[in-house]
Amino acid sequence: MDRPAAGASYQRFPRVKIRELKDDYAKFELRDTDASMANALRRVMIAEVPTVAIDLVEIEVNSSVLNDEFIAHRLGLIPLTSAAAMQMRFSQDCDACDGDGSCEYCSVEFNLSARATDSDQTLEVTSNDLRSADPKVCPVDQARAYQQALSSGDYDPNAGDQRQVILHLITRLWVLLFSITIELLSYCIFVADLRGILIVKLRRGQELRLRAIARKGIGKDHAKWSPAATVTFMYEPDIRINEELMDTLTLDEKRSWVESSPTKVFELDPVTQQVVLLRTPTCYFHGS
Amino acid sequence: MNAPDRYERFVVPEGTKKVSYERDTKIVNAASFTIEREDHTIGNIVRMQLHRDPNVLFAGYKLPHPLQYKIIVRIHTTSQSSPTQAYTQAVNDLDKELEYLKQAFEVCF
Repeated sequence: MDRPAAGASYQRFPRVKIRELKDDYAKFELRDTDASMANALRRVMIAEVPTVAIDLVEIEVNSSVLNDEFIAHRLGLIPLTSAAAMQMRFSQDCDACDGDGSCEYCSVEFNLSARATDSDQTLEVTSNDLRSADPKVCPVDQARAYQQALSSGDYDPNAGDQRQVILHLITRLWVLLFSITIELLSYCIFVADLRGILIVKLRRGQELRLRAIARKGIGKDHAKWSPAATVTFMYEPDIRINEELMDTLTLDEKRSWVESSPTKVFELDPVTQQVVLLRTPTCYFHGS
Repeated sequence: MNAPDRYERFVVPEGTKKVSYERDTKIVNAASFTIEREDHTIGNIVRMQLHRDPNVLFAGYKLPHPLQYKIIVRIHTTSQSSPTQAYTQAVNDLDKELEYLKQAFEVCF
């Protein structure tokens, strides 16, 4: 580690390289910095990135089998599109509204009105029934269904299946390189099933009518405001093959040695008949 | 029953200063900084940055209690520097490093 003269700056210059990037998954390498930086990034992603979630629910009619606070809790956990969160203000900081925290600058109003008609079928009240006052903020699967309807040919079936964005931290002690990938678990949204997130089921004659206010918040306050499902980081292992010992093995022994590892880490180069490390970096522990 | 409100974890109440300073009476060039409404996210990063300064003899942080939302950073320096100087230098360097990281991300994404 270099030690500049006293009074000089000890700033580091981290480098970022993205390995994979999807709608709900990102994996990147972080180099030339410390594990504390990676951990701070991880903690901030989980707890301090602001999002929008339903925070106040006024129930007019509820004759369903679930009680009021149960339904309010479920409504709070519904993920909402939060691209507008950076422009919104926190309700406690908002000076435009008259103290009740429900003006246009700090909140978004939702309405839900469902009544099971006189048929024998169960009515499923889902997030698709939530009507937003602001089209920019709506339940995530409503936005997804809308986008899919718009561009029916361009939909990527893998985007919904991706479960994990992995944060890998690679270190090589003598060069101090770090690599980080972030893991974000996607919501349990099945690609083919666009019915929306189930809130409650209603029987014939049962009704649910409510008004909900969504506000900006951070994960530290309540987990419903956390944008990340999983964020992890790890040091990528540095693997070096002892060439002297490797040379004492026959070709068949080398082949069986390469195949013995549960994830594909090595390969047998057919030309030189040497065991080499797999060129494309994959996760050595779970092969993703 | 005794649990504090969740917003207490990050909202600094009126009248409390975010960072306060206490000189150590028994050891020269030693001080404690108390940062309100912060946790390991800031504490670990500041501590690791202070370790990089050769004038800092001792740098550590602790959370006195998990339900009291503040951290105490304790710094001992040589006579060539002072705890305040080391702390300010560390925080400024972290600011620049995070700004650099932000730009590195913006270029990538």
